[in-house]
Amino acid sequence: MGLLRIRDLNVQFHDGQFHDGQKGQEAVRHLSFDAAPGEIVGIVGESGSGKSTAMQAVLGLLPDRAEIVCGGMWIGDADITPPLPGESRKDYERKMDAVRGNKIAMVFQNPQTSLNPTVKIGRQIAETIRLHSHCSRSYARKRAAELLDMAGVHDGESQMGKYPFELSGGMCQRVGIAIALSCEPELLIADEPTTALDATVQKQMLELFRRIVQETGTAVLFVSHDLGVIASLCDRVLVMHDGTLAEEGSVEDVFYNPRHVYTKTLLARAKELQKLSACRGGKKKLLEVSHVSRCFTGTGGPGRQAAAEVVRDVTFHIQKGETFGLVGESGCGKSTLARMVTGILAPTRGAVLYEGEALSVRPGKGNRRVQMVFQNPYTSLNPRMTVRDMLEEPLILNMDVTEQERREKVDSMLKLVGLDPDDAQKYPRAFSGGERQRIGIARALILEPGLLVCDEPVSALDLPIQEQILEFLEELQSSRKITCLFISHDLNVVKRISSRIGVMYAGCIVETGSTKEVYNDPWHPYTKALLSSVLVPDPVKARRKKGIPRREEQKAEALATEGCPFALRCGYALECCFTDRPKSCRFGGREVACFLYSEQYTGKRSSDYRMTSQI
Amino acid sequence: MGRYMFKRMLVGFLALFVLVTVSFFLTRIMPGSPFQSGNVSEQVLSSLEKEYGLDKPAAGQYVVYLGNLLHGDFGMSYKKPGVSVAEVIGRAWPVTAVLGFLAILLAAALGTAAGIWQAVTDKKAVKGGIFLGTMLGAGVPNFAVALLLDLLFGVKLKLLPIAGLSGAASYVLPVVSLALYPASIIARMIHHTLGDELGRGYVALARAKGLGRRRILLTHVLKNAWLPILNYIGPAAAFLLTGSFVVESIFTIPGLGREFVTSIGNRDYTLILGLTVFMGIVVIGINIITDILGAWLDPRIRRTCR
Amino acid sequence: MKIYMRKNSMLVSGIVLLAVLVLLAVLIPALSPYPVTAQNAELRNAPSSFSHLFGTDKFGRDIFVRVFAGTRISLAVGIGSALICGMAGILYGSAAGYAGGKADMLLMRAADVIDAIPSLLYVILIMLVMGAGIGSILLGICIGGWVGLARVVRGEIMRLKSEDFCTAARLLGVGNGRLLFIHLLPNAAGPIIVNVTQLIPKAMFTEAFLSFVGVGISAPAASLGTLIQEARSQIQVAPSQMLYPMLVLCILILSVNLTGLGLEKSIGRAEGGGW
Repeated sequence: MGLLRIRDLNVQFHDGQFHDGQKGQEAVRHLSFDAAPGEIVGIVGESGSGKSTAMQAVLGLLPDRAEIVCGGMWIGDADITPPLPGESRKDYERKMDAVRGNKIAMVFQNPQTSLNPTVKIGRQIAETIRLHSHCSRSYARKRAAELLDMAGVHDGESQMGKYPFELSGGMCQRVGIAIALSCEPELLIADEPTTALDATVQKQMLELFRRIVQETGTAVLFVSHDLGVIASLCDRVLVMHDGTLAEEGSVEDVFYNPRHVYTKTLLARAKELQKLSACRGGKKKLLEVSHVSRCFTGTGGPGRQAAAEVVRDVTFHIQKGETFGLVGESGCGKSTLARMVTGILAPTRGAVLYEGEALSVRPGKGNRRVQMVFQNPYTSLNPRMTVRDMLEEPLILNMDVTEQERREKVDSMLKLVGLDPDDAQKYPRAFSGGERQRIGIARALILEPGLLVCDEPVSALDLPIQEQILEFLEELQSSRKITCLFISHDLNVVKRISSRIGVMYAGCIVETGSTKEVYNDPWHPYTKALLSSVLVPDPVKARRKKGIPRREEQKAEALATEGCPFALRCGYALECCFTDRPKSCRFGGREVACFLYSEQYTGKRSSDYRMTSQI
Repeated sequence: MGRYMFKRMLVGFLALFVLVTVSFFLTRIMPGSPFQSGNVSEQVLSSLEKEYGLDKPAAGQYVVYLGNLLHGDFGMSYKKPGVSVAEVIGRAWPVTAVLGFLAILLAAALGTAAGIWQAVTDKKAVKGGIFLGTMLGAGVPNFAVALLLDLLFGVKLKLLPIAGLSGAASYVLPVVSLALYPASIIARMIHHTLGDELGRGYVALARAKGLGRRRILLTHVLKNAWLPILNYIGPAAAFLLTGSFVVESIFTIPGLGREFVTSIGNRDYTLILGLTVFMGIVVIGINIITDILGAWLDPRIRRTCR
Repeated sequence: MKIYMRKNSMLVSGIVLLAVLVLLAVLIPALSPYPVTAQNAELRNAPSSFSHLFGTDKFGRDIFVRVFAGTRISLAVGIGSALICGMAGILYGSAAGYAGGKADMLLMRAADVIDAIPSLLYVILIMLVMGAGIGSILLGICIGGWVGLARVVRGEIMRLKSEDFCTAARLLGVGNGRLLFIHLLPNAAGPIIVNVTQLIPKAMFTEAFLSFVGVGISAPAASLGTLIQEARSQIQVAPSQMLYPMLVLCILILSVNLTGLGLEKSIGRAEGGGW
């Protein structure tokens, strides 16, 4: 018999304004499933498929405008069926207050906003313990420290006096897990708990979930849109599509032998992303970035911080016709680097040379050789300008063309990116996210730039739209021979589209090389960690992947002033890594900044020595 | 935090300095000499001016005034012979301070309660009623409120005393007429911030932990919702002080406000200047205190600004 | 209209009320047979009647005409100061926000200093120096009235300046002036409009207050504040003399407040849903 049993769950949302007879939007329809004790059940689906709504309905957390009709819902022996619309909620709420946090606990997506910013984390954990077990204050504190330890926060005792904003995202999520575990729940619902985290942290988080299930025997309902995450963690999978259950089965069955059409397309699309880039670059250097650093002095906040170096001594080049991928975690300085490449930001030290000349964004003709595509298509288009105005503006400012030529140029550009020229009179709000991103690309291409900088161009988009945009960019690569600097936190996306990649960590490029070489044989310990955290939508492969040695995770801003930036997290760190900065060592087409590859560590090598991975 | 406090104080002192300077020179260029009432001979006039130091150049007078201010000496009243401005303030300030303090307490309590009620109730009638109340409270000038209360309770119903301060009951009308406007503003702000805060992730987590709605509101949300209100206490103090001009005149209460209004009528320039400077000090001081308090209560500011 | 009314009843009722008041304020003093300051010794403290809708005051002047003449002054002060403070605030705020860095810091600290001084205090001093009248009231209100708006504008400009569309525009060669006026300010229009409307009732408040204290508009000219002050002495005999101007003043401020809130709501809705 299952631990959680749900029979025929339906959820409908009413839009506040229309009451008269209109049916609201159906978020979940006829959902029935069971979860057994100690089982990890994955729930996978695109955004809007109703997976989160269903989970919130289980705990009774949906807002009042949600109408829930449920055939029955039980946790163990307790009946937690929500009342039908119109019935009194009083008894249900009283019953649920004893269930929430006690029998069923929940972990939310965004760890930093789901903790109260003005309450110390120790109190936020202890509060839950005291709420359900009526123990003494000191016992609750002791238990809270144990829980933090269990959730992988070392030195829990001293961390308890901190506020959420003083912790990294991963740490906050561990606190969230500690809160969820505080009353030894029978069921843990995790709603996209790793989506907001960096890849390497996500990997550690999944290990934590697995360990918790082994140690406590609690069942886990794990909601995610990422097939890789599901494949590496879960025992059983539910695939949701449009509010209904499309397919249900063990991970192996669903991933290797999908029956439902939707599951098949989902899997095919995920496999598509695994491809390696096929394109090759030319030989001529187009852009050279040499020893570039950038400092920011904190003038924004009320207290002034010391100058923080966001990008530090970065050197790389891009050849004409190639796509150079730059990958790194959030906050590693990739966007700052992108802005320096375009000339919007001036480097504090070093130089960015485009065909041997420095760039400038000052008004004036012929200065527009580098253009940019942005991450968020919702903020990168001026909401008060029509598409035509937006595309014509650069032509008016930079070229002497007649009105007729301008119109034709805009029309042809819109056709190129796959939009109808008749839609040019519309404002950005009339377009979907993917269409907006196409408009953004059209705007970047209209001046025919020599280099296109794409800063996370697909990260804000849904998976199928991501795929479309990537395909379109590939098309551009082959048809227009455009040179591209492609930046993303997602290794899958970067390797799909770039011929060479650079790996960035804490403001430094730690490794560069051709995509194939770096991907198949990573050298730098960080690249290795990053690669091992990439999850493939294949249960057997995903589980075989072993972790690499690592140390305590730190809040990324603790940027060591001297020594290797990765030393604190590196499992292979040598003594010199904490005191000296590793120089970049070059081997053929690859460069790596790590002492493991330096001469002083490996000794003098003969000239025909072929470097291989040292770890 | 120390740096923040220092910066805040610096702005306060600068503001005070600007206020003193501007007010001083404004009172100097006000039309007519304060002694030009009735038949005063040239001779008497000039001797009077000499006595008050008015024959010296303005810049010199200004320096003397600044120096005296540092000792708490606001000068002598022109119209009340032998009475110093400091004495007037010493007599009137406690009255106004008590009134203002009571009014701000009432406003905070009333506003918070109404704001919370409006935010959490399901009843449309209550929501609408409170909305209408705050609308009116923020739309009726305080002298109108005072006069209406005066008319209703003092003249028509004869329930409450309408003049002077002779007992607890006589505080009711002035305090209510002062508190109504800030109470409406506070209610509106609480309603607004509560709406924002209740939608945040930590409320969902607290619900998932099993905390009841009431407990979440009291232990988690209210503190966060109240932080922005603290910033309003400064402007509210300014409002109450100027509000006391009319309220104290209407209810004939011997406070700062009534002194100010009478000194305007008398063209008693040193008194006007002294009262202006004193009220400026009070308002700027309260602003600094509430700002620093707000920053200190918010760990996000307290822990990051050093 | 009906649908619109249901969607935003505040805005509609606010605008309708305001329009009625504006119309009355323009027409009544112009068309009435009784001049604003004409005294009639035979008709003192008359109650409401057909010839004198709101009755007459202690000098026998028609209160109906005087109330709407006062409304004229209130409207003029409200709209005038909103225009002046609006311009000043937008210019100052966008200059500070667009320049950023040291210039921004200096400008905003200066604004902090001005804002820290309770404005009514120096407004009273200015009234004493310049003498009663609309001009000096406007000057007094506008000296400090723009600071709040400037802060809002600066914040908006700072926020928008870091948005991607602004970076894109700069990459495409858009110059400073064009960036500020074509790309940034139109996007800040919502908060600007809301804040400018909020300046109007504040100014009306101040004017009524000053006139009531006796330093604003001086008799025999009629401002709502002066009318209320004059009627105070008759409170025992004829409370209605005080109630009429009060009622009109409250409706006036209420209608502006309603319009402001309604605007805020509809702008918030348009930007929340439409972006």
